Amino acid sequence: MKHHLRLWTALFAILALVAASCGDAEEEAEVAEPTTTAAAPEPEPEPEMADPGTPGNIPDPGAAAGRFDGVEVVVAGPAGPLDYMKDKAAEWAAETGATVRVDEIPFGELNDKVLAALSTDTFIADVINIGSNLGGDLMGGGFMAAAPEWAQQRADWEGILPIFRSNQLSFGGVAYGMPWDGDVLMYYWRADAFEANADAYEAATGNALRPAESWSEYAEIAKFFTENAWSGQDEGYGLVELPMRNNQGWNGFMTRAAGYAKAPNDPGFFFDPETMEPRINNPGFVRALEDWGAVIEYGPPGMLNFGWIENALSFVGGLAAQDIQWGDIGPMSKGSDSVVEGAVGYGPAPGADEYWDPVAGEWASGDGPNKAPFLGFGGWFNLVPATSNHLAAAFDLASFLGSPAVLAEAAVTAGTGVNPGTAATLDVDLWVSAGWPEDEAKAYTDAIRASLDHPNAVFDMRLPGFPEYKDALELAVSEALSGQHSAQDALDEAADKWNEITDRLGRDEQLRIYREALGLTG
Amino acid sequence: MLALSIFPLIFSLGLTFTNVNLFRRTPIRFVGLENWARIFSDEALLETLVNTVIFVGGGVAIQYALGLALAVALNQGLREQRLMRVLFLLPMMVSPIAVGFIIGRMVFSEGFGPINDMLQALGLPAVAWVTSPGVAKWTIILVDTWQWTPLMMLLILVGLQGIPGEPIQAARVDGASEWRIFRHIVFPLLLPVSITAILIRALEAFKIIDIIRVVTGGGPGRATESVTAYVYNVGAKQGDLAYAASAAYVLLFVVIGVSFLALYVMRRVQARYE
Repeated sequence: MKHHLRLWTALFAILALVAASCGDAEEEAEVAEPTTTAAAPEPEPEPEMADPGTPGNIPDPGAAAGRFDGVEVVVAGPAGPLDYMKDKAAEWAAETGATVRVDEIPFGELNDKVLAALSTDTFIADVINIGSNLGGDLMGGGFMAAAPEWAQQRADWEGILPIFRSNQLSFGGVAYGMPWDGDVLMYYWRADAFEANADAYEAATGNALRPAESWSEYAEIAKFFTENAWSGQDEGYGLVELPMRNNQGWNGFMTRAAGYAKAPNDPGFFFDPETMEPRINNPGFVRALEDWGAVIEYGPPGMLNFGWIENALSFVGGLAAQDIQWGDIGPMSKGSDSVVEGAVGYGPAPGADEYWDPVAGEWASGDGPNKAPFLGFGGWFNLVPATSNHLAAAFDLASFLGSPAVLAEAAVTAGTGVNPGTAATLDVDLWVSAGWPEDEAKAYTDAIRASLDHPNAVFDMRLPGFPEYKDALELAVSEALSGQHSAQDALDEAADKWNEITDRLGRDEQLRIYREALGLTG
Repeated sequence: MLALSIFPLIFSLGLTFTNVNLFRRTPIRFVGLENWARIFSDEALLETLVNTVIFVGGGVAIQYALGLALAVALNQGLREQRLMRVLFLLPMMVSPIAVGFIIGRMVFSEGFGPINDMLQALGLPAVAWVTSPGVAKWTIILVDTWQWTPLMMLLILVGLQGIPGEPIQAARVDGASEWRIFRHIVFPLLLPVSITAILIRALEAFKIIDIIRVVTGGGPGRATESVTAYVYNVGAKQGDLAYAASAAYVLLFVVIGVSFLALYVMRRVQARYE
C-alpha cells in the first residue's frame, strides 16, 4: 500500500510540475521582452511583439534596399506547392538583405504541426502558408499578428475579391492574412469529346449533349462516356472526383452537397445558425451522398482512393470526360503532362434539381438547378504568428508574395497552387499574355468569377476544431461510398460526432463564431 | 534508462487522468478515470484494435512462412547465396513511406497498376485492392509482407546456420527423408529463434501506421485504420492528448499480453519436442 501511495504521489508531483510549467510558459509569453534584430548597415529596428488582433503596431520598414540585412525569416507551408514561393522569396531576400528559409511540411501533417507548435508556444515559422479553413483555430485562437495597414496596401487590399478579404484574410473584422491563393471547386469537361459525341449521345439518351447544369445531367453524361469509347486511349471514364478520406474527401463531398443542401434563402449550411445543430444528416446531405455513391462507378478504377494529384492527372491525362477540381486544371491543361490543351470547357460546379429547405423542412426548387459553388479550402494564404521575432520582415515578405505582380505570375504558372482570387489574376489580358487563346481565357476567368460571385456560394468551414469536424465527416462519407453503411446511418453518426465536438469546444462560442462567419449579428 | 523509458511512460500514464488538449488553452485538471471509462464505449477504438490484430496475425504468419521458406532455400549452399541475400534484404532498406507509395499505390493501383493489368490479361477480373474494405486489409498486409519478410528470413537464416550438423547427418545415415529431418530436427531446433523473430516482428507490426497513411489513409471508412493511426488522429489531429494516451495504453496492454502468450507458447512447444 505504501508503495502504491508513493507511486501516486510521484505521479501527481510530475503532473503538478507539468501544470506549473505550462502556466509559466503562458506568463512568459505575455511578458516577453521586445525582440530586436542584430543589424548590419542601418537596418530598421524590429518592433515589439504584436498584440493579436491589434493592427498598426508594426512600423512600416520602408522600401530601402538592404532593410533587413542579417535577418532570417522562416516560412513554413505544404511540401510541393512552395517551390514557386521559394523562388519569389529568394528575390525578396536579395532585395532586402534578409535570408529566407522555407520549411516544407508534408501536406497531410501541415495542420497538425502548425496547431501543435502554436499551442505549445513553440516557434514554427515567421510566415505560415496555410489553408483558410484553419483560420478559426489560428486567427480565432489568438495566435496570429494582425496585418498592419502598410502590408495591406502593398498587397493591394482593395484588389482582392471581397469574399476572400472578409472570409479568408480576416477574422472577427480584423485583417490578419496576406493573399496567396483563391480557391473554388469548379466543373471541367472535355469540350472536344462533347462535340465529337453529340449525335451519339442524343441517340442514346434522347437529350442534347451540353455541359451539365445539374448533378443529374452530370450523372447521365458520366454514364454515357463510361460506357462508350471516346478518349482515343484504351480506357476512358465519365468523371473523376475527389472522394479520398484524409485527403480531399471533405471538398469532394461538400462541392456536391452544397447544391442539395444550401438553400438560397438561408445563410446556414454546415449548421443551423440559430442552434448550432449539425445539418449534415438532413435529407439534402443524405441525398447528395446517395447520388454521389451512385456515380462513383463512372470514375477510373480505385477512384475512392483519389486525392488532388490523381484527380488532376487523370483529367489532364485524358482519362475522364468531366472533372470536379480547383482552378489548377486550367494552367495544368497547358502543361507538359497534358493531352487536353485547348480541349477543356470551364464552368461552375453543377447544381441540384431540388434542394432541401431546412427552415420549411421540405424539398424546394427554383427556376433551374440550385447551384452553390463551394470555396473548398477557401484558398491558401500567409499568416504571421504573433510570436514571430521578425514581424516587420515577415509582413514585408508576406505582402510582397501577395502583391499583384507576384500573384499574377503565379496564377498563370502551372504547379504553383495559386488560383485566381484577385482582380489582377482574373484579368483576361493576363491570361492572353501568358499564351492562352482569348476565348479560352475568358471562359476560364468567367467560370471562376461566376463561382466566386455567386450569391449562394458556400465558403469553407472556418470554425475552431475544423480538423475534427472534417475527420468525422470524411469517415462517414468514406463508409457510405464503400458500402459499409447507408448514407443516412453514416451521416447520423457524423452528426452525433459533430454535436460532441461542438459541446466539447463550447456550443455558445462555436455558434458565435459560426454566425460571425456567415455575417450574422446578435 | 529512467529518463528515456520510465519517465515518458509515467508521464503518459499521468496524462490519461487529465483533460490535456493540445489545441485548447484550458486549465489542466484531474479527471480521474474519465478517459479510461470512455475507452469501453469507444467503438472506433475497438474497430481499429480488431484491424490491428488482423494486420499482425495475418501479416506475421505470412512473413514467417515466406521467411522460413526463403531461409531454408538460401541455406542450401547455393553459389549465388550472397548475392541473393543482399537482394532479398533490399526491401527492408527502403523507407516504409516509399514502400507504401511504390508498392501500395503504384503496383496495387486499381487503374494503372501492373497487378490488375496482369490479372486482366489472364482473363481475371480486376481487384479493388484499396477501395474494398475487406480486400484493402489484405493489401496492407501484402505491402507490409513485401517489406518485412526479409527480416524474418535473416533471423531464421542465422538460426539455421547455428544448427549443429551431426544430428542431421545421423538422421540421413538412418534413411530419414529431408521432410522428416526438417520436421523433427531442424524445425524444433529453430523454435527459439522462430518465436523470437515472430515476437520482434509482431511487436513492430502492432505499431503499423506509415504504410497505412500512404496506401489507404485508414480507409475506406475505417477499414484499415490501426490503433496507432487512431491514436495519432486523436492526439495529433484533434489535440486530445489525454484520451490518445489512454488509447495508446490499451495497445500497450495488448502487446504485453501477446508477448506473454508468445513466451508461454514457446515454452509449451519446446517442452513438447523435448
